[in-house]
Amino acid sequence: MSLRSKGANSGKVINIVPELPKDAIVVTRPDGTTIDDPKSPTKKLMAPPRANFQEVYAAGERIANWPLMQQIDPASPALQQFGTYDFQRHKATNTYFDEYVPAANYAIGVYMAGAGYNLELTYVIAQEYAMGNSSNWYKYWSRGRPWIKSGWEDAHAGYWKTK
Amino acid sequence: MKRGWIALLASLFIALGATVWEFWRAVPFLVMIAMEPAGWGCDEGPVTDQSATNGRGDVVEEYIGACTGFGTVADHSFVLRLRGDEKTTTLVEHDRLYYEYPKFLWINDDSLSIDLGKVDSIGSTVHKVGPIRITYTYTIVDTGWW
Repeated sequence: MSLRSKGANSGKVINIVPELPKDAIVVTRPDGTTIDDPKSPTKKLMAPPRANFQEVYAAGERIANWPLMQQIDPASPALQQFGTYDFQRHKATNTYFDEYVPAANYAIGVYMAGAGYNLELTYVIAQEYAMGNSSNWYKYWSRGRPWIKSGWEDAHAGYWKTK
Repeated sequence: MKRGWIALLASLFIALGATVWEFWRAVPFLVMIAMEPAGWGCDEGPVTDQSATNGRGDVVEEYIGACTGFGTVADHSFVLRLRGDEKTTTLVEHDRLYYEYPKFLWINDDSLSIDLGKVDSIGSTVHKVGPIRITYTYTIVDTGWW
């Protein structure tokens, strides 16, 4: 039950958890509504207990008015492997949770909406990343994109604003 | 006529400017992605608790490759490793499956059945590896949700 890892965790073996962890939470918008995920065992979008999408949105908001090149410094450790909002990985236990991938992509949409990026631009960046890192990048539109879109739209609609 | 051309060129110029302006905002992120060495931020390997072994010791298992940099792309596939062989054969690449799948069933040592359940799409399938014949069961569905 292990994966080889490159990048922030280079050289270490990472544990993989294919099933939904017992302490997973249903992502619930502040108005009490939930988000459908037909492939989840609960049929709802699930996330680790630490996931706080208002915090994700606020983090995006903080860089919204920064000069473009300076936005990368906070964005990288937030979004990349084992980053703050890399919800499918847990750094302390060196674990990868496959069932949290939708929540992690949802977070990307929330973060970018907070940072003031429109959905098309967010897609362009996500597609660029997918092209370089997936053997099936052409199918990316049917994988990560719906969750990025869902996160972006919810955030844009104001669900994850704190004030 | 001349005024028409001027209006058209002006419109095109404004549209180009708007496109460049929007694209420019993506440049730092695109640079960040481009600076990463290939494979950076990726984990890959077999999911050994989603596997099945026949009486001869041949193993079929789920294999995941997941990369995170700007969003996560996770490539899922099934691989077959014949006993005593270090090399694996990729049987099929597939999308994220419904929760209770896949279901592997060794009918006998030379016949493997794989049930994928409902799928949005799957890649091309391998039906024979060495002495082993593989059959796949799945239903392509358009949930409308994707």
